[in-house]
Amino acid sequence: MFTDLGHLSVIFALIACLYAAVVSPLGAQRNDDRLVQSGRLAALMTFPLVLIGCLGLWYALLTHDFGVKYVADVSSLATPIFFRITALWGSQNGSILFWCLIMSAFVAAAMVRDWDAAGDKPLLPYVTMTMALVLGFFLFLELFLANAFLRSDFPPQDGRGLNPLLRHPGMIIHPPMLYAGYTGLLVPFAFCIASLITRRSDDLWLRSSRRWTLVGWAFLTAGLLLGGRWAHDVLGWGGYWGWDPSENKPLITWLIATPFLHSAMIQEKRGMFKNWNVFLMMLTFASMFFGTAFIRSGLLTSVHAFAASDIGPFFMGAMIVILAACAMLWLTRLDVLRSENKLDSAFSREGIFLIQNVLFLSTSFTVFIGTIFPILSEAIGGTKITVGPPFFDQTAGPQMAALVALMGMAPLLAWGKSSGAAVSRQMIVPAAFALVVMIALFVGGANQPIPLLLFGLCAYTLAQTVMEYVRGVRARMRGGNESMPVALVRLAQKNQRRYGGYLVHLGVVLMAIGVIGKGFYGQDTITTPAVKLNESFTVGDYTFTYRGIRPVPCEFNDCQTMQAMLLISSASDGRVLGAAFPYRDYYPMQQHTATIPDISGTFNNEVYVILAGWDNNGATASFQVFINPLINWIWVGGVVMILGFFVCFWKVPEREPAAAPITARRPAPAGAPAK
Amino acid sequence: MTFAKTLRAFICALLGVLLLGRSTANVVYAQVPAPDEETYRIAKQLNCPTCAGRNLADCPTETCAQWKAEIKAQLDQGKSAQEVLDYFQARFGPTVLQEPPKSGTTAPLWAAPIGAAIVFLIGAGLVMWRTSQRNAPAAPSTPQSEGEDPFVAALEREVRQSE
Repeated sequence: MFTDLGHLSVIFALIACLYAAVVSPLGAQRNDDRLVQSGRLAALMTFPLVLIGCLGLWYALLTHDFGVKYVADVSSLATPIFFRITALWGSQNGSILFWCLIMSAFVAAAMVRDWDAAGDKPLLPYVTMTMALVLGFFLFLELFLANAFLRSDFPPQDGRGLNPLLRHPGMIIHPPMLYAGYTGLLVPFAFCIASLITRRSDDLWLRSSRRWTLVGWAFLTAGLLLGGRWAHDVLGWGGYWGWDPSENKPLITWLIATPFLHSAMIQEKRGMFKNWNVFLMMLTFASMFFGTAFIRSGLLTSVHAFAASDIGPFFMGAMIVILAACAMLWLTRLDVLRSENKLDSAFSREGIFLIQNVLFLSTSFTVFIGTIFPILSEAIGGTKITVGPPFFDQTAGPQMAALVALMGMAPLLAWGKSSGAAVSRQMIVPAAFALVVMIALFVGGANQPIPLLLFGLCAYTLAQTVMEYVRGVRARMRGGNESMPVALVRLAQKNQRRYGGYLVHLGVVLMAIGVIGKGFYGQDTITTPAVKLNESFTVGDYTFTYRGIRPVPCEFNDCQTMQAMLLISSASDGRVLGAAFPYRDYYPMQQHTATIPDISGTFNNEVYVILAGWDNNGATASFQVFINPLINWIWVGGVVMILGFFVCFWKVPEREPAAAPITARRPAPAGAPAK
Repeated sequence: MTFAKTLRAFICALLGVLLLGRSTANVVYAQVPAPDEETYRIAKQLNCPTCAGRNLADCPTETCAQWKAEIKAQLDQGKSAQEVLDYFQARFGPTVLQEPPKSGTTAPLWAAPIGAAIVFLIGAGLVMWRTSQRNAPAAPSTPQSEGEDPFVAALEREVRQSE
């Protein structure tokens, strides 16, 4: 009953979307604010309506209403309450509904904002229209092609249970994060379209949607990180990233949204590259749509893609229509989007931003081509050719390294024009630091040239980024008579985007260190022959002693679990370091085996053990062991990136008097420095 | 209502029996012989037909176990690693390799990223050249740093633009 009410509510949400999409532009054309406001309210209403829909489905999940097909597909009597709640996005149909919920939340948030105060009222009707159309598309999809509310004629006694792979906290939070990332980026897209329709040539759409873009980007980043963490903890392939289509899809979007964040600054500062920003925004949107179409339709197989379904053709058709409409709109506005300024020199902030932008795009394209190559090769040559991680490592890897290098250069260049001498002067200290680090590493035994160079690159960029803070803090200490901590805080407060951005850069460098460490110094092996009981084997600095295998109770009673016990000791002095308990779950219902690794070791040297197999009731067993040096820096870097986002995003109340005289920066009174 | 309760109790009881009998049943069926080191190295370079998106070495399915056994058998016959890989490629086509060959039908795949990077960079160069040639309106081309920290703006001028 309540579930059917939810179904009805989602139908109303679709109607509200259609209404908003028609009435808002009509109001704009007739100059009738009542119609515009009516459309705005209708768009606002979609959120409570979709929420009721989700509550209805949650009700069915919580009450074990197996008459609803979706509930029987993703839960069972044994599924604990927590996973029955998260099962809402555990499979295709429900996750589209959940996607609609998050999108409608963003729509509602955009609708309730104070448009009069923001001064972008003229954009409102078309922002409403764009968002209502996109949300309406997904609601249509939910209702007509992937309905989660459908009932079966013969309700089963028990459901099939949640996909075992999805029972991990990372997997629980990761999809909502990604959805929020995608739908967050819908807001700047809507502003972009509205700006084009109203023939505006200024950067209003960028400024109005700047914070939304940041939010979308941050969610996307967090979603990617959590996805990596999930793969690391659950999939048992020893790494954090497998270049799987469902990982690549958000990455492709991230690799377009990130340059957009940078190039938007060029337009805001200098009124240039307006067309380019529109292009990047549309590309961001297209990549999101395209990726969703491919993953959802089952065209691309992946570790956890949804089952093949018939929404693919519909999706593709809709996408072509939408993109064609966008392209038409853009082409008819080219004259409006002329650059206001002349590029003074390629050796400038805007010049290097442009290079960074195209490098990001070519990286994105690389990931894209590798991801869809199986489909391309099947369409052209008739055979489906799989593209594994080696391709991505060898092609996207160098481009990403180049991006890290640019990150160490861009902050040095000024807007407009830079002087070569000044820039090279600023490079001395970081370059010296990088050299010292490389020598230290070489003496320490790192003699492979490529990782050594890459670590040097990271050291340079790290030092350069830190130097940016040092320079800023020094300037404030000299000019503003501030002590160092005050200067640092004020610096970040007054230039949030800039110094928050540098914090994100720092996070990226830390992450790069982790990637290089794991990629070049990671070891992995499998025990040969299988180890006997109480026998030992050594990998790297660690000795493992096999102590037996035993069945243990499975967490939710729907699997069979075998757990192995290993003693870990130091290979050099025999000191006992700990124990490892890797295990395997077998799910008879889903015919699925999960290998759950044991993760131990130190912060800089992770030990990752997988139970690969056993014989004779555990008389012998074999293990796959990964030593992952520096891998934890990836997660640390990720946290730093998110912190950087908060620095950018946080609204700081103005306290300090605005324009302090710049001429007062020289006379540094005695006692001012080194407080 | 009572029927549902009875049924639930029955299912619980059934589950209980299954669980009790599990420890022995489990061990018998779930034995998984593991591949040796060289098989593992070769399996790492192959795709598994049943585990989408994972290499053969990491995939725990039955089909993959057969493939691994095949690799081991060929190694035991004295074939080299490359010969085993060649055998799989001849039998299943290049799709079986984790790393598609850089020649033949998959050459365009490898060329595409390099081509894209080059074309994009040239494009960026052209855009920069054109933008710098354009007759811009008489707007001042000094960077606008409104809303920025005056100290940092001064720093910017001092550090980056002066010789």
